[in-house]
Amino acid sequence: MEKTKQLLDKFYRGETTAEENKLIASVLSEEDSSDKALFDALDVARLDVSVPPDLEPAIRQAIAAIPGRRKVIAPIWAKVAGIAAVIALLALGWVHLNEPKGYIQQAPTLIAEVRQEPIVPQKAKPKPKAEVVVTDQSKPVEAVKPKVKKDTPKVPTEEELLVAEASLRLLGEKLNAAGLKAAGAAEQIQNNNSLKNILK
Amino acid sequence: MTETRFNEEILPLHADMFRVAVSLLGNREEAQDVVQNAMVKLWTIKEKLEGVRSLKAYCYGMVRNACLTRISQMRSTEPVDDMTIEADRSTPHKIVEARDSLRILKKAIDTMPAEQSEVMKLSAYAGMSNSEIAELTGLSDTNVRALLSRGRKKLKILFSKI
Repeated sequence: MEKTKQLLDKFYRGETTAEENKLIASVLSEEDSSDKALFDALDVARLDVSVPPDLEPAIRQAIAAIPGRRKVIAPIWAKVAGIAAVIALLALGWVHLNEPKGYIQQAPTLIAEVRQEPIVPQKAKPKPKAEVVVTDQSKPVEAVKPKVKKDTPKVPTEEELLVAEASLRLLGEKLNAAGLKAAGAAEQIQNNNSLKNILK
Repeated sequence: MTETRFNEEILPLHADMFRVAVSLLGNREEAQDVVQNAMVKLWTIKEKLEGVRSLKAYCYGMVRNACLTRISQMRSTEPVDDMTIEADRSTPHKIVEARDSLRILKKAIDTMPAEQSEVMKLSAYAGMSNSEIAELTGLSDTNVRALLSRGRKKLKILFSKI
């Protein structure tokens, strides 16, 4: 009885736990009519507050259905396509830098193709001899190096221009091929993303 | 706020939000609807949630306001059937007694001041502890105890007159 009174006092001070409330309800007798009526009502008033298991999936579905959320996908697709294009360009540059002689070797063939002339093998040009000038026989002979003009702009010859044109044409063809590959890869990624959205 | 942070910090709050909504509305389906709408709204404004100090209190406030709006739109008759009536009250007399007591209790709690009414509902209907109520509402433990004490004493006087 004393313990019940202490628990009731604690209840009306707002300090009891849920377990203590249940204990009070179980020990109250008909003599404590007003307290018993209140605890009976509180007992009946207890709601089922357990969370429905389908609440979280329903929330996720509602968020996924928000219009405009798909905008997040487009920039990713664009980024992947951009990265693929950069990789293709870098690969092309690497191939181009590692095969300089190939272009030079192909140059006469390419020039002949441009001019529509028969291909003639080129002969090696002789090296110029160093000029020797004797001024004093008592002194040792010194070889004079040929004078080289500096700081004068070099005008490209017709042959050099044709080689450059042929090289650029080859480079252009390879760039086109790399670009097509990058576009194909980007299209495939977009198709994969579309499939994923459908499956969701 | 990023999507990852939303999934880690806000989405798990749906359980407490549901408990609050059920306590205030007394109806599970309505509570589920309120919580779902609140989560969608929170998602759309997630960028603005960076500066919020207590996300839990913010979410509770959103649910509370939505529940109060719904209550004002609902009819005045209480959904007594949504309340659990235990098996030992299976006799008709006891069922009637239980429903009458419940009706009196709900009416008394609904007519209390707003803050006190909410605290009483979270305690009586949801069985939440004082610390849980304090965390959700942003009130201090002392304040929650005081509100519960005054509310329970009011109910004692009311039931002593029945």
